[in-house]
Amino acid sequence: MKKVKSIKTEIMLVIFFVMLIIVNGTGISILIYLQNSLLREVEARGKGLVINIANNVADYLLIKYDLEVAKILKEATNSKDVRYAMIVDGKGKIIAHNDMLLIKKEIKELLKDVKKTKNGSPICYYMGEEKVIDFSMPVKAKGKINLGVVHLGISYSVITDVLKKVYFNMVLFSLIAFILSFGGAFFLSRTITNPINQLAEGAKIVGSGNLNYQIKLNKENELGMLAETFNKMVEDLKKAHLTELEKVALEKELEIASKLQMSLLKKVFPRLENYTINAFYKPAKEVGGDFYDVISLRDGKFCIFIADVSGKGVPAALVMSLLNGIIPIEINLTSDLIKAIGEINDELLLKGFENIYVTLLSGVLNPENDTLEIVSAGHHETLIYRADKKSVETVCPQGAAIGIFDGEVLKSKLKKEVLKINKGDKFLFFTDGIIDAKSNDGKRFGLEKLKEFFMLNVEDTGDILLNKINKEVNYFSEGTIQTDDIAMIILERKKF
Amino acid sequence: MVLKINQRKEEKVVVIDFVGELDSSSVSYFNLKFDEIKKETGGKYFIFNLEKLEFISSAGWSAIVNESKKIKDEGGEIFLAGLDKSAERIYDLIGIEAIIKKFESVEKAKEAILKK
Repeated sequence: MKKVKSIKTEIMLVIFFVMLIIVNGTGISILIYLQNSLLREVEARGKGLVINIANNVADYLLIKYDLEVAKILKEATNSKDVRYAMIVDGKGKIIAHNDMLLIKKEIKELLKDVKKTKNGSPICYYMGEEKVIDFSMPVKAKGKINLGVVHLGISYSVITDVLKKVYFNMVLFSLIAFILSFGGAFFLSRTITNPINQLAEGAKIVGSGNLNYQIKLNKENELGMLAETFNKMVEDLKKAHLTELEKVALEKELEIASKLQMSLLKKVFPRLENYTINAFYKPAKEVGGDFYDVISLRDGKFCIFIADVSGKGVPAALVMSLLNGIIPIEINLTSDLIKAIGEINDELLLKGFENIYVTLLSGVLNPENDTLEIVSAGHHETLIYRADKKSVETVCPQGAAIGIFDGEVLKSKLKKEVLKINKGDKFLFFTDGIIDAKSNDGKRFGLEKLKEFFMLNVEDTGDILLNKINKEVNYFSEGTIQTDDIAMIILERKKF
Repeated sequence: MVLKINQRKEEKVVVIDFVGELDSSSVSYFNLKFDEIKKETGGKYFIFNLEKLEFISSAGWSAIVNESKKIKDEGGEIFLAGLDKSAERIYDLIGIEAIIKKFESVEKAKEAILKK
């Protein structure tokens, strides 16, 4: 990220200058006020002193009592800051001075005028060195005769000293203002620029893909609010992302499912001379479930099987996929159903589908001798319509499901049943989606109801019969959602 | 509610009572609740009392088998009690006894566990 000139600097400068102006502005006003006030004080004092001297020396000057005059002048200079006290005649010659040595000199030798104060008092350089304010008062005797002019000088340093102090303080305050502005900068960074940096950092991290990041800003001001809003936004993004992921996962599931379902729906069974085989399949909304097939075996026999994978979702669909591939191969490899199922079982266990079992109903049809060999791996009954008895019976060979036991154990549990198929007989293989179908008031369709309905409509040809059964189940479960696949295969031996 | 699950602790066994139906619509509830119960009780032996369970679909059995295998990995065990006729039929048909033992009643199941 490019180096950014911090707004801290700008704000710092602004604060600094503002403080500077305020402090110094105040300082200068105080300065001017002080100066004026001091000046007034000094002038008042000076004028007072000078009047005093003029009054006191008047009589002594008259009688030329020089000593007394000198005493008075000397006394005056004892006063604080009084630099000189002298008396000058009409021509500017010094006739009396606190410093006797300066008598007979010209006043303009000692005093050099510089300027005047606001009130008109002259500010002069005394003896070329010191700045003084000069106060003068004519000395009058008996109210008329001008005996001379008293000059008293008060050092200007009184005022310059104070001014120096004020200047010093102003510099001090400017320095403090400078330091404070640094302090202000730290404060600013804590309250403004750092949080802003945190927000920028956070935005960067989230932008790079980490949607679990939350900004920790425990402030209750606008920045805290901004952080909160930001965090909420990230949470929403995460939810949307998850939903997106879920959507993608679901789409994938549906893709697998629909591929399998398509293959089931499109299955074309081999043609047999004396037999017809029809199938019906209606998938439930969710993935995973039933599948079936009719395979021609090498020795002119046919294998019919219908299977039900337990569980739901992608794992079940994967197992279905797997078995769809394995079963025909195994059954073709060995014409022994039980052996084939044992192999299929071990294949499934090997693949590590730990929590899924499969029920399988398989039958090998031998058209030569019209027999059907049935092996049931954990599957429920098969319905058989016997044309000669005009009744429906059930068959359910002993067995166990695939995916639970070891192959050898499973094989020992499977029993084969060989049935004769006579003209007009019909075998109905189905999965439990039919008998488990639930009605609105909680009843299950059940085997008995299927048996009855089968019997009732047994004269119909296979495909019509299967459709009727489906309609009946639909009617029964109207108002409820189908949660299980419905699959049926009907094997009929022609009547003639 | 299709399925309701309650638990009670009896000696070193947790008995879980099932009421209603266990099919694909209630399987996720079952999974969640059982996880909760495992965490709360920290128990190892669970008896599923199915007396008031009217129906178990293949999805339901699959879920039970699933949980049973999971808990075996964690060193525990699930026992079934009070299966009705149709549940028992499927239990026998599929061969679930290789994975989970069943008992006539909760009492009988407890006896067997306490003997361990």
